[in-house]
Amino acid sequence: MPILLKLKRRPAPPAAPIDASSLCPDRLAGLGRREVERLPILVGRSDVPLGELFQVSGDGGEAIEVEGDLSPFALVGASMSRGRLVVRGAVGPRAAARMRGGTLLVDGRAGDHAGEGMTGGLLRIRGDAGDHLAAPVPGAPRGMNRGTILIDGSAGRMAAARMRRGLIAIAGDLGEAAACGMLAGSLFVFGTIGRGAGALLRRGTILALGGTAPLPTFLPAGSQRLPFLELFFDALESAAFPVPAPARRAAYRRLVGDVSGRGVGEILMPAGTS
Amino acid sequence: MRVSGTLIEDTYAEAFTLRASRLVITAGSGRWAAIAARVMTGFATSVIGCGCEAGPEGPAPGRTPDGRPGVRVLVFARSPGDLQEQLMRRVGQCVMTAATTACFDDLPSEETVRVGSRLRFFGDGHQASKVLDAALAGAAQAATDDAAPPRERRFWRIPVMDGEFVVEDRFGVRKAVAGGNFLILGRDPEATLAAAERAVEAIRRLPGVILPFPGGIVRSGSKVGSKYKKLIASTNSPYCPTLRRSVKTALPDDAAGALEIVIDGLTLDDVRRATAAGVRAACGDGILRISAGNYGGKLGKHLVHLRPLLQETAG
Repeated sequence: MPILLKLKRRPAPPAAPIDASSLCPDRLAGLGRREVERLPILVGRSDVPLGELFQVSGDGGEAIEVEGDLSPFALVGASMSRGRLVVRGAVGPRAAARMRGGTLLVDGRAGDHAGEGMTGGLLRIRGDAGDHLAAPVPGAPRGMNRGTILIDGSAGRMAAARMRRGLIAIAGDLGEAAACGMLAGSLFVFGTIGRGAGALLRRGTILALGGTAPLPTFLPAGSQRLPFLELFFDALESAAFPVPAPARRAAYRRLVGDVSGRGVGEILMPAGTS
Repeated sequence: MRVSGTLIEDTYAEAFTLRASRLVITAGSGRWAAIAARVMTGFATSVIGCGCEAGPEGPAPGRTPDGRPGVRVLVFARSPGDLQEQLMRRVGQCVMTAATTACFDDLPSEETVRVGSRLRFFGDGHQASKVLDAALAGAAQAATDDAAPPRERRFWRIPVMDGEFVVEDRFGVRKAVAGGNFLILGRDPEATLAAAERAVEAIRRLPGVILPFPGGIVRSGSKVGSKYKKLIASTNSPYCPTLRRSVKTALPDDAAGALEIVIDGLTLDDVRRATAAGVRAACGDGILRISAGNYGGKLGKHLVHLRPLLQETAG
């Protein structure tokens, strides 16, 4: 039986976000209702029992549903490696940070640094995501390294910094300075991408269906139909993440770079866009 | 026992275990996928002399990994190592070289062999890999009724002169059944060949099996062993009409000769299903008997008894 958590009231925004790293299948699976209620949540400088903030029902399963606006809660689903966590509402910063496996579905918007240091699993955000999506954990040389992030809305600045592996797909627009220092992996944006995308790109693919203003260090490399894209598009559609019709079986204008760092990555835009 | 007037001999076919992989070759058109599949499965009639047995499988897949027209191919070899070597050579020389193609694994298995991960070096350092994470690949698998546990899939993009050749990093390998067979003994050569062609047509509609020989038919069936010590197989002398007075013949007096259908399948059930369909299609006017090749248990552990099989599948 899934564990159901219902936020009793939206806590007053503390100076620092509430540490909700307990909200994770790895921590909750196998626990009875009483044990779940006793789990500590760090609010400011004090631990508060989870039961004070949430009404708890169900127990034992690896499936967890949380209802309520969790915007003040940081680290929801952090370090999760298995199971399924569904949040019916927004989440705060660093959701799915260091996620290794399982599925985190956010039925709302997510704060900054969602998917930070992710190394596996599926993060799905039905609303918008903030800045620094899939960023490296502080001090780490690499960003996201495996896993999949699907954003149904738009995302902010500095997404996919130093990304090493994995897929990020964004149905809406993406802010400035995306995929800075990207090492490999795939960033698909079905809207537009802000300026400065792919600076210091080493390898990897940035798809900008709505176009982007490429840096001058990206060189035109002709137009091409690329069958590998269909593998990803099919998988995205199978996961109920719609792919716009113009993206399918289309020829893409390919720009290679970032040549300032001898990069051989690519920015793909539909042929005919500027 | 008779089917459409043809006697079914009370005998059995003896099949043996090989390792199999299943590939999907896609291309810009069905024609080019078929060309690549045909070339890749050329000179792949028998593991004895060709290193592997291969052929296009069943009807075209309804849905392919990259959404383009495709052909399924089954390849059988003695060991995973042999299979890897054959796949590397054949995908590299026959599929990668064919215009617009791509090549994907279609047999998710615990055991895998490296294909794309070796072919990638053809890219001379310009190759790039793309990984579909297990969570996302799982969604795609579910959409194609693939019941295997979700697995990460890695693909290689190898630059070629018409764009990119996309090939899966590893291909699944499973134990499979090869050497299922039956013999068609006809009153004259024309009727025998026509019956064999009917059998081939019926079997080629089925999934999970291939007919590795030319046109799906073997005229030079073999027996185990030879008077020459170096040979492990030699002509199936009891069924050769020109040896009637030289050896103990298995041909009835009024038979002009025999043709053999050899079936390789992913499972024994696939081989049995194909045997039943083929035998039924072959029986009819001008066909005196249906027999099967067995070697007294010397060759393999899978036995397909003709009469019980046809009784089970009747109606």
